[in-house]
Amino acid sequence: MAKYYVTVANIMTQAANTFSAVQTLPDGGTLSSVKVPPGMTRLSVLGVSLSHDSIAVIDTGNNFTVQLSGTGLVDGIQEFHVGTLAAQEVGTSVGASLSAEKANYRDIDVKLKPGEVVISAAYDGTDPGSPLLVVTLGFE
Amino acid sequence: MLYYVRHDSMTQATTTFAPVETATDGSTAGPIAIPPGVKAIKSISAGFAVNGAHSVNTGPVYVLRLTGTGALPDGNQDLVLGSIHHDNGGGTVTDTDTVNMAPLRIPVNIAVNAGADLALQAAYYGTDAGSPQISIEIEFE
Repeated sequence: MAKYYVTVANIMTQAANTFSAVQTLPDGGTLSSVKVPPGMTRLSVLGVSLSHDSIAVIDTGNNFTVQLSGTGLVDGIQEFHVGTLAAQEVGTSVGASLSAEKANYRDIDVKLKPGEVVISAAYDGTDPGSPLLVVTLGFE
Repeated sequence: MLYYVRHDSMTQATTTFAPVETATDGSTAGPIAIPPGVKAIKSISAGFAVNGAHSVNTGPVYVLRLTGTGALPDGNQDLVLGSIHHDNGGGTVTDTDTVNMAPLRIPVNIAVNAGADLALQAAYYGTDAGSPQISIEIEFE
């Protein structure tokens, strides 16, 4: 069970199939990489929340991938499918929706060594606007 | 196991932490005094909903911070909780929507120091949606 949790986010303004850094702290600061905490040997938890924090571009559907890289990973780059967003509309602005989604926490097992972990994210499909992706890493 | 709940209305700006310190009876209880003999937080449960008009085309993502002087041997802990998105398209659609959500429960193993005060804080990424209510349950062992 993870003992130490770090959370960062990215408003994904990049094009499809392009990784960009996930490095905004919840207080608005920037954390360009996560230093592996002393005594921690693996990542055991990955928590992710996705949201259209704007007008969702209609008739789009996207899968999101989180990539871990950096000197702190024993086995090199790791990629995780972390969820899907979609928006559909028949006609023009004839509907509305209220959707709630709990963050998804899953067990992972990524071996660590002293160094840095860099978090990036990308999506497939068509640009859905500027989706918001928030990642929590759990260390133990 | 020991269980405590705090809630609050989030009126702050984006990417700004504010205390979650209201007790279930409405009083300002403040941080949670970690009971004697307790060694760890075993789980966190959370819920959130905009209590009022949810601004259209916003979908902030909520984050919990555990903090408190001397409460956490491993320092502050930040955990993502989830989001609620109100989509209204580009037009002026009149809509009435409801959404129900069971609490998010996150099993954890976060060391704590008995006798210290555990402070709960919350923030959100993204656009201000109104004044969401957030509720947090802490399970100690």
